[in-house]
Amino acid sequence: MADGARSAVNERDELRQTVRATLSRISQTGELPTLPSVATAALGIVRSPDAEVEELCHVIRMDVGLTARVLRVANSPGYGRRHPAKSMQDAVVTLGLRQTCDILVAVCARQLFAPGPYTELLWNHSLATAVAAEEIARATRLVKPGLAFLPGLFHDVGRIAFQLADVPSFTTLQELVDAGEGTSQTFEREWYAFDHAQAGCILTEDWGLVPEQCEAIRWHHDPAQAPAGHVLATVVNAADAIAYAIGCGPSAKRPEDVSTAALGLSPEAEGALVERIREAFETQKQLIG
Amino acid sequence: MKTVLTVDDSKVVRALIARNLGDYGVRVVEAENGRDGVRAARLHRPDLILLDVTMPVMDGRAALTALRSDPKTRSIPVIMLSAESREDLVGEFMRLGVVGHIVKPFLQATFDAEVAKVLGWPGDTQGARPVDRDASTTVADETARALAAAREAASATEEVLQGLLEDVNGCAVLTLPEQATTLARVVPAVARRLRVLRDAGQDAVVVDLVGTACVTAEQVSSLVRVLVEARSLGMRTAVCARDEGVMTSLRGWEATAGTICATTREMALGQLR
Repeated sequence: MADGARSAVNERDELRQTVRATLSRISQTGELPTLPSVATAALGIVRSPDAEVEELCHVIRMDVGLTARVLRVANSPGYGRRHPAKSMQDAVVTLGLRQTCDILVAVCARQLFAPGPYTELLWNHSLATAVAAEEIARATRLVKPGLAFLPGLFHDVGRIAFQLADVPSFTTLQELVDAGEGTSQTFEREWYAFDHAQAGCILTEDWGLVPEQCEAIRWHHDPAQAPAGHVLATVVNAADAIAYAIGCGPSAKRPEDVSTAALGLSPEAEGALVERIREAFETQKQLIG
Repeated sequence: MKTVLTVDDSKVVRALIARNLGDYGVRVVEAENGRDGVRAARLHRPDLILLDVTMPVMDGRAALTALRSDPKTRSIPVIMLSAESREDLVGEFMRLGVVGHIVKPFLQATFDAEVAKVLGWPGDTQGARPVDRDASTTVADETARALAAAREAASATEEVLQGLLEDVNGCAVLTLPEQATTLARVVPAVARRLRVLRDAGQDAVVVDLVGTACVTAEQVSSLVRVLVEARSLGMRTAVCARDEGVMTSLRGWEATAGTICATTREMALGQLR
């Protein structure tokens, strides 16, 4: 292994160890936030090159609430079925394996965002960024649309981990950011020794996202630094900016390091894209919650 | 009103410490580096200094040396703050005579366990909260009340300690309590008692965790302080735990305290003899 690659591996191992040890140490339960097992099972199935519809259906059927939710999405007007899907197999064929998995993970991820004023804002922001990332991927063809939804959804999940672990410290950090005293990444690094993007990368790695998606989460505030998944990080960064543009920012002020500039769209094209994202977000919000 | 000096280059750490000190009713003075911290200590003569290790201009170790070499600041209690929890750091800080060590990031409970050693517990009568002074209250009344509260606190600590630390056939046995804060609270008293036991000829300590299925970070931190203290007194230590998870979390500290791990109290006692 080349020296550069070895040093990147060492750096990642060190980060993984620090994130896990710190979050476990400060959390009340001593455990890291996890996705429900049905979501990780679905991610595992979709990652496999031999993934089969029936296999995913079997996982979804184990949860009655999820079954109903997936059928509801597949039968929504956006998917243009003439006759409603009655079986899970129909629904999965309509949506496709990847999209079914994205919906399922989003429904499961909703549970991580426990009710609270800030978490509600953060959930809307995460869902809006996921929808925006997928739409940007479709419009620009920079990356496969199927790759973009989950890093958009989880780009700020590190913040949720910080909040779940220690609400008072998280609130103090947020108050300083809102007061314009500095950026959240700076304060997070000073306090936790890593920021929410780094924490999100390590958590989603554990949950079964592919490396390119994890890298995009890690570098969504600084896509130029991403050694791999550079383009996906750019897409998530732009999606983050658009989520603010449609009124789904978790704070009043948009961070200075998120922007749509790297997409190279004309103002008209960008305006049309933002409108499509606004509509798509409203639809997903109604379906997923 | 008591004064606490916080020396840390991070604005967010200073803000979090100020928030954590909210219930103590103290005046908080802040400095951004060791040099300014030493100056502030000479000027304000605080009751406690919370000192970060890694800082620009002058780091925490150099600041601590400067504080200890100045008669005006020599006796001010210092608690070190660091991002690292390396085992050798705990020992180093103990040797430097600091009263405690807090690893960042920390929870309020961990912070309280250390700070209360100097300021008392917020809300406790023996704590350092400022008393509302009634015009009719005389100095003598206040002193008598403070002495009674201190006696009560000392007797409560002794009572807790009695249940935690016992003498089993010439070996000191410390039983880890269910509550993390209970152990943290009596650690200074445990250390004093260990000295007494050592002077009485005991040279071994068993820490008994057999009834514990979960060890929190605060408990481990308090436990390590006891083990390090015992080692610095020249005592040998053993830790006994039946739970595999508990054993795993303790193995990381074996090197620090040169301790022995066993699955029962009897085995621990046997290995120490």
